[in-house]
Amino acid sequence: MEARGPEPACEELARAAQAGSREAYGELVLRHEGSLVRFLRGRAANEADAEELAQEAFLRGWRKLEQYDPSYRFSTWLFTLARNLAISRARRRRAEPEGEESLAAVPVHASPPLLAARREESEGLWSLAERVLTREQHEALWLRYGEDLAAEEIGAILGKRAVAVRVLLFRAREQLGGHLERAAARASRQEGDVLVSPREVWS
Amino acid sequence: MKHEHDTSEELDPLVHALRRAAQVEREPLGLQAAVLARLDEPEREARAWMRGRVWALAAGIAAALLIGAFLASRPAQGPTPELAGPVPKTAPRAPRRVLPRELVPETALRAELEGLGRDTRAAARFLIARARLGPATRGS
Repeated sequence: MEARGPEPACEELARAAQAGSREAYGELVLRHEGSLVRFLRGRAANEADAEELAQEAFLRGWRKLEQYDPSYRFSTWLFTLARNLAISRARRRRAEPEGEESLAAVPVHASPPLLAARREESEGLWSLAERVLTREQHEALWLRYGEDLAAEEIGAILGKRAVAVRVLLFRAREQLGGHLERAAARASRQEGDVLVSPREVWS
Repeated sequence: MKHEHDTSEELDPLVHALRRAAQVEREPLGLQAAVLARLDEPEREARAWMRGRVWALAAGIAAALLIGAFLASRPAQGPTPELAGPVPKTAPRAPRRVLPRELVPETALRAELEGLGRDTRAAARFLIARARLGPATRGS
């Protein structure tokens, strides 16, 4: 979902940044920072760590900007770079127990069902997705619905074929949808409400 | 850069919910100022890297000099010329005289072969060679 129309496209900004425009690069940072942090959440210990990782990715992007080909989407290049950075940092931190540990590994039903359902309501859909899906599923889901990238572009970032990405997305949606339905059922049992599917609620 | 949209995806309310929720997630977090302030860091890093290289090179040269000095200070193998005294002069050897084949005393050879008590090829070769060298080297 990159800016189109009156605002310059990210690729144009990247071209200007390649020519040395810090202002253009600053605009690129502004456009992508939230998205990049969300993407990196699964590879970071917490929000602050994800933000630090995103900053490092932007700095590396600036250093390697001459390698970017503006005929491709800037976001694809940036997310690939950020993911590689996160992986290499995780390798360096492998000695630390929490380094490679994904938050997805945290048990989903650690708290009582009603509590879990309420927490899911308050924490936001993407945080829930991050918690209940595998890291790869979460990344693919974000790139698809957060960044609006095609399966081929997601595949280029995740190092997978487009078919594998489509399967990954399908399973991620099924898993997340199934989890929401189970959580809603548990909540309604607890409160004696009529069972309403969360998919119906959100539609 | 047109993207395909799967029909089943578009019908899924969860997909719509994810897209709506993504709008909130994409809000800027205020990293821009921090990133722009750090854009010069690579140069600083590069300088630090170069400083590190210079220090490593200096340490290497110093280590090489120390090793060289240590090796130079070690005593040489064997006694020094002063301790060993003057080198004894040996008389120059007389040039070996080789007798022509026809002058090799065959009878003496045979006698010596008999004296050895065995007629091996090695012994014969030795004796013949000695005989050819002549009387100057025979006693040495």
